[in-house]
Amino acid sequence: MADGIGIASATVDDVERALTPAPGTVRLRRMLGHRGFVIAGVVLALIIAMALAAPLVAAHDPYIQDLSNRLVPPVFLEGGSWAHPLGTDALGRDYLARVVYGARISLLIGVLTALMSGIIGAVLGVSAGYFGGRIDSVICYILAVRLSMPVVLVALAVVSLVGGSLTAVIMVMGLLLWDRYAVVMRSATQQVRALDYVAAAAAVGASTARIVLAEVLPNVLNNLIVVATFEVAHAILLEAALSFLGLGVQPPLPSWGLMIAEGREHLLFEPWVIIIPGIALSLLVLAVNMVGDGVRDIAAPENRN
Amino acid sequence: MTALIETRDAERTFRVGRSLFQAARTLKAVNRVSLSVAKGEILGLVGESGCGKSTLAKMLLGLLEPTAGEILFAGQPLYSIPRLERARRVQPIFQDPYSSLNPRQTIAAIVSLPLRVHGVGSPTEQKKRVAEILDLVGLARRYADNYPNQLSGGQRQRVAIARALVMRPELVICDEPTSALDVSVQSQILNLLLELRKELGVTYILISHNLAVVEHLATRVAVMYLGRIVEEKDTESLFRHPEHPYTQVLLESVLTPEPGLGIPDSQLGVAFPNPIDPPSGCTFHPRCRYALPRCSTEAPVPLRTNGSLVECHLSLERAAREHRAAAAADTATGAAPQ
Repeated sequence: MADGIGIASATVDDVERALTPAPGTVRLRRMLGHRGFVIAGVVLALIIAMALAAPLVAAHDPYIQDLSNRLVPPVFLEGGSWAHPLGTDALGRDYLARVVYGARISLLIGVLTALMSGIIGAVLGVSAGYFGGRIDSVICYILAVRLSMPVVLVALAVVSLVGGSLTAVIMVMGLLLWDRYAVVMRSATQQVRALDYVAAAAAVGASTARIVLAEVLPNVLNNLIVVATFEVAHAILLEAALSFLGLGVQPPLPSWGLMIAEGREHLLFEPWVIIIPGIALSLLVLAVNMVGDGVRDIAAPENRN
Repeated sequence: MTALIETRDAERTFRVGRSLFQAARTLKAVNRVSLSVAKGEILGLVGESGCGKSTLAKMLLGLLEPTAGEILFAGQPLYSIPRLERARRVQPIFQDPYSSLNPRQTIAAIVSLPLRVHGVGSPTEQKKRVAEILDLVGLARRYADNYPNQLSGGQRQRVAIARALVMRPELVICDEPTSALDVSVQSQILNLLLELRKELGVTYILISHNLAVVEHLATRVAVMYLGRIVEEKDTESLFRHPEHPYTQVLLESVLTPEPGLGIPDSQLGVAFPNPIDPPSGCTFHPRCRYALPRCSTEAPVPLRTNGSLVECHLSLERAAREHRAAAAADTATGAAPQ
């Protein structure tokens, strides 16, 4: 509630302003007061900025091989130089450039997959929750079928059939990872649908489309955003796993999972080859997850009312 | 007086409890209800929770079609009136102003929703009408850009009333309009409803379990029990001479402000019966202190006498006795001159 400071000489206007703030203001305040969200948000923003400005961050081209400069250690290890701050890989490609361009791939896959599966899941979940009855039964059946399929195995099977490529990976994951959206949106919609403002809109004569889009959807969007952040992290990890197994993004594209796979042989004597993309991957997934946690903390209290 | 809204044997059943292993059972939420509300009246609808009041309200609003019987609005079947026209003429006010306003919309957006749905006027005209109706319900115009979470319960209910009245409907169905509010705010809202009736000439159906509210507002009262209207009369005679035993018990159970009296004893010993499996005969007989043997086997027929209705064997028998006595008196006086 309002922080009752300086009431003594408050005018009517001040009291007005000291009233409960608007939902937007409340959200902004909670956001800035949430330490985990702020820190993870900054990290995530840095990674995104790095990915967008990749040519500026990395001095080298990530695809140019230099076989005379193979496996140069990073600058903080013995034998490293500032010419290649993170060293070079087994084909002499600049590791910093590959990590930076790899962020592009990871983010692209994470965001596109979450977007695609989010749309599928939201449409299914909201229709199941809003219409109920037979539509709900059918959608729940589809959901049960989808949940009975192990994602990694199906993804492996499909990718090995159609061949690994960036588009194939995004399509497969986008068509597979909608289950959590559907479950969450369905139950959130069921809750909102039972509220009187939906009945009031119906009594006013509003069309079903208007009720769903203007009354229901804005009130379940919080949940969608929370699930979406977790699914971005999920997709990034899954892509890394697929690429590690050789069925995801194909070389020479710089994907972090692929870089870990390529570094496998050097694990014993040049562990940094694996550790660097590993740290990048963990940092990104951690940041995305923490932002998701923060969004949930910031958005959820309003639903609890 | 012509009826504004009228139900004829309206009935609503729900199929409940259907699962893989169990067949669905039927719940009669509203059981052949015939009601008629004249223009300008305030009909109070009272009864315990679960008696079918809210289902009846939804049917009258056009949100729930009756499974049998019909509902006439101004002589026309309600469900044959196009959605938008129906919405323009009948509007609800809900019980809980905390769930009846969309938390993501400003007050202005909430109140102008009916105008936007019906395509009334340009955005500037809509703004003007919103300001007018906010004045009318006694809410300062500066709240127009606020969100519901910034308003108190009473203010929110004023917003809900403004939304219901902005299209100037003929009939407003108030489902417990004050029971979610603080006592100090309740009377403000009730007086507002009365003022608006004078101003706009609306007809109200007032659903409530608060008898004091009904007594204060309603011109006529219908008492509902397990989906049936068991008694219906003008307010004064219902409160002075309750006829149905259920009405009597309801009136006795009202808390009195006198401190010495304590909480009144409820005469309704047995719990509310399961509406899926209602008692035989008169559905009230297990809880009735005057129950006769025939009450458990035979359902009473409604007894209508000049504008009032009661559905009870006791009243039927009394009427029959009076009828016989009158007939006897008739024959006695008729015989004398011969």
